[in-house]
Amino acid sequence: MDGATPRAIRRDQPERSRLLLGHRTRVVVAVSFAIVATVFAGCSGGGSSDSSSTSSTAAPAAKTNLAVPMGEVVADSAGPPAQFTPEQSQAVMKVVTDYLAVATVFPLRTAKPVGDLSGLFDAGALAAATGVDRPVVLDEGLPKVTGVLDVVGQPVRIVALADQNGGIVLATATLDLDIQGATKVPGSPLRILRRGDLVLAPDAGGAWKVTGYNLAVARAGAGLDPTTTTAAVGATPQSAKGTR
Amino acid sequence: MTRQGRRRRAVAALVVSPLLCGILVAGLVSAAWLALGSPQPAGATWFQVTKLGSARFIGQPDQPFFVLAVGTGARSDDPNESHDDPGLADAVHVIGVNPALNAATIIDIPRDTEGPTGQKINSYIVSNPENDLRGMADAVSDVTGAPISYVIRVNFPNFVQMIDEMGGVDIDIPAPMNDEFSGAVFDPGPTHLNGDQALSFSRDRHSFTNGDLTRTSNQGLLLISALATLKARNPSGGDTVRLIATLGRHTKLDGIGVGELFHLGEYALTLDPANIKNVVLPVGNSGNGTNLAKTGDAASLLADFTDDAVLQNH
Repeated sequence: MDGATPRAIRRDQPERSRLLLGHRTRVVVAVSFAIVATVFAGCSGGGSSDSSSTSSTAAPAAKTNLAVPMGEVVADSAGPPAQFTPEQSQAVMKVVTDYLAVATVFPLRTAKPVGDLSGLFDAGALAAATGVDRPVVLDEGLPKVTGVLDVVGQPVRIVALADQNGGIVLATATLDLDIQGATKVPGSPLRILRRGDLVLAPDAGGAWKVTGYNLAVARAGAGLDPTTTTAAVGATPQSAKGTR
Repeated sequence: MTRQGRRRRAVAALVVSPLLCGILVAGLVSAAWLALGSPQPAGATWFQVTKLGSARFIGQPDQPFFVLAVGTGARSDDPNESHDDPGLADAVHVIGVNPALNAATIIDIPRDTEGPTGQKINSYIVSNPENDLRGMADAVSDVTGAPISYVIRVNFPNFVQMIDEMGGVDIDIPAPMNDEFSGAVFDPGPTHLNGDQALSFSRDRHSFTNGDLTRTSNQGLLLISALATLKARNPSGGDTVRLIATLGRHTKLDGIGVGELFHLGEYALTLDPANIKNVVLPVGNSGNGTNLAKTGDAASLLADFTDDAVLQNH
């Protein structure tokens, strides 16, 4: 008798009520699973779980967002008023974006050393950038970014300098970059902040190249050790201490 | 408990558990995101690097070099508009820079110092108008033994405008100054000079018993103070462009272009003013007429200076 009671009670409940309860249950369960699925999907982008990428066989290449727009462009002259043309501004911006592609995106995506930079740096700057300043100027030796890679920045401010005849001799490009990407290193995504100036000048052939730089970089996440280094190009070699 | 109750409790547990789990995970993820999303991540690794261009333009970056800084009394670069002064150089300073030591020395040359052909050193800039700066540099090199690579010259109005466009100079005035000729009226101590005041400070020789000797030392002090003032503003690359453009508009250059001057300026801004010595060339009244001649102390000082562009033993 007692054993039949629930069934009897259930039978006594209006059919509509039973159907409604079942529907609510299904909705709540579905929503809860959706939340959990969403959360874990979000977690997988953080690079904290290898298991989340087990279905990588057919996964498309992870997206790289390189969004560093040109900002204010001004020219100051030691002689008559000068103008920095849109073509010159674009040429400077191309060097900047090429630098980001070569020095940041490539090594982070491939975990390989940066290749030839002679098209972007003049000889003096190249020697320093690929020598004592390599850990600062290039994003090598860091965990490979396997998820979305965001290279975003404030608009690049360009200030050009003209000589006493009004001819443009160089320009500075101010960078304020925030680079983030998910790696397979558990814990946290890689984040790089890079700020400072590039100094660019046209070479003998008219191609704009980096002739100097004043950069500060901070890296965090992806299991990086919190060690610090300072390097000053042109100063005594002893002033450069350690690497990443 | 009834079977139906147990089933409801089971269903509830099935529903609530994933929700709690999801909220927990979402909270952890949010916390991590916030931690990493801060502008300067905790435990961040900071690097700083400065590419200094000055040394690249002298052949070998670590080699010492010498700059001649000249201030003339010309009221204009057009002699017809400068009746009060033909452009005599009453400010003559050899700046030695040693990049490897990250140090510099300023040797202040009194204007009456006898030059290689018996004239006062301040007149060599006007004796050969077609080659004024290089002729002046050659004369100063003869006196000091320093091979001068670059010359920078400024006249009165350019000096005033340049200082004003720079935003003035913070300086610690070493001694009271009260000179009606130059207009220098200053109490000792820290003060901020605008262009006119900086010119007065640089011109005053009547407030001191040794006249031009203290004046030339003060001029060297003003150079160091100007550097310190600019450094304190922590200029960006763009700021340095503006400074160099200002400098270029108000100076005449020899041996260096504006582009190179930019790199030299960037390098100068890395120098610690405390690592810049300011020393007056030892001279005495043993020259022809009112000329001053180098004293015996000058030889060892200049030897110390010219060997690596900075003084170590003086």
